[in-house]
Amino acid sequence: MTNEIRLIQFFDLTDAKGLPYLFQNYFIEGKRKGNKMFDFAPFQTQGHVSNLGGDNSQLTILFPTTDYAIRLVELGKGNRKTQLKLTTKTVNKSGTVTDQILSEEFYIGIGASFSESTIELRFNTAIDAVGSSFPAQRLSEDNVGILPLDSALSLR
Amino acid sequence: MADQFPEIKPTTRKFKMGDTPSTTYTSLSGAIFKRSFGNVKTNYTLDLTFKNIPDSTTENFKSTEAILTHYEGADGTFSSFTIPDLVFAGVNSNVKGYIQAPTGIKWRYSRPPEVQSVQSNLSTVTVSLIGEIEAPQIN
Repeated sequence: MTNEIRLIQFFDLTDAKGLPYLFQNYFIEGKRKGNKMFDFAPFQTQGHVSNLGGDNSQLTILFPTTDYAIRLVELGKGNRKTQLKLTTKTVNKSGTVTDQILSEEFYIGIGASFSESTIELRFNTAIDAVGSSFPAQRLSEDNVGILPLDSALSLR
Repeated sequence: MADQFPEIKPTTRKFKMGDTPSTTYTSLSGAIFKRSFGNVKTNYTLDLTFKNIPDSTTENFKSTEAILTHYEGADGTFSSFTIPDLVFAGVNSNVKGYIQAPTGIKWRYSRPPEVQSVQSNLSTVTVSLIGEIEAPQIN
C-alpha cells in the first residue's frame, strides 16, 4: 500500500517598502493562486518549531545563491524588515492545487546568512505566547503598548 | 547557454527517462508514503557513441575535433545546450518527443567525452549527457 502526497508551499514576502515577492516550489512553469502569479523558486523550509511554552516558531528558508535570492535579502534590509505569509497546500494527482490549507503561518524576518551555495532567510512568528501562566488574551497595542517585532517580550 | 551539440549521427545511443523528484518514507507497518517535490521529470540521461570518426572535421563530416571543441565551448560540464535532431536519426517521432523535448529540459555533459584512438586519424568517442530542469529566470 502506498500513499502519495504532493505538497506545495506558497511564499508571499513583503519587503521593507511594502512590495510583494511571490514564489512557490512545485510547479516549474509558475502557478496562479487567486489573482496572484507565483513564480517557481527552488526553496525549502526548515525548522518550523512549536513548543508547550508558546508558539515561538522559528523558520529557515533556504534558497540557492541566485540573483533574486540576494535581492530578496537586500530589499528586506538584510531580511530584518520583511513579512512572510507561508501557505502549505496539497496538489492532487491531476496537478490541481486543492482548496484545503494544511498550514498558513505569518512570520517576520529576523536576518539572513550567506554561503557560496545557499542563502538562508530566517523568520520568527510575529506574535508569540509570552508564557504558560499568561492569561489567554490577544495582545494588542491597547493592552501592552507598542507591540514587539519578535518574541523578546519583557513583562514588568 | 552553449552552442548546439555538433550534427553527427551516433553509432549507438542509450537513453534513460527522467523521474519525478520524490522521497519515500517506509513505516514500521510496511506502509509506504511517497512525497513528490515537483511536477516535472528530471535527470534524463543520453549516452552516445561515435565509432571510427575522423579526428579532423572535413567538409562533409564532423569529427572528434568538433565534439571536443563543443565540450570546450560548453565550459565542460557547466553550461547547457540543445541537441540537433540528427542525433536522434532513425528514432520514431513519438519516441523522440520523450527524449528531445521534455518541458524545460536542458542538456549538459555529465562527464568529459572519452576518446579512444582506433588508428591513424580515426577515433571512437563516447559522450554522456544529462537532461536537467532549468528553473525559469525571475526578473
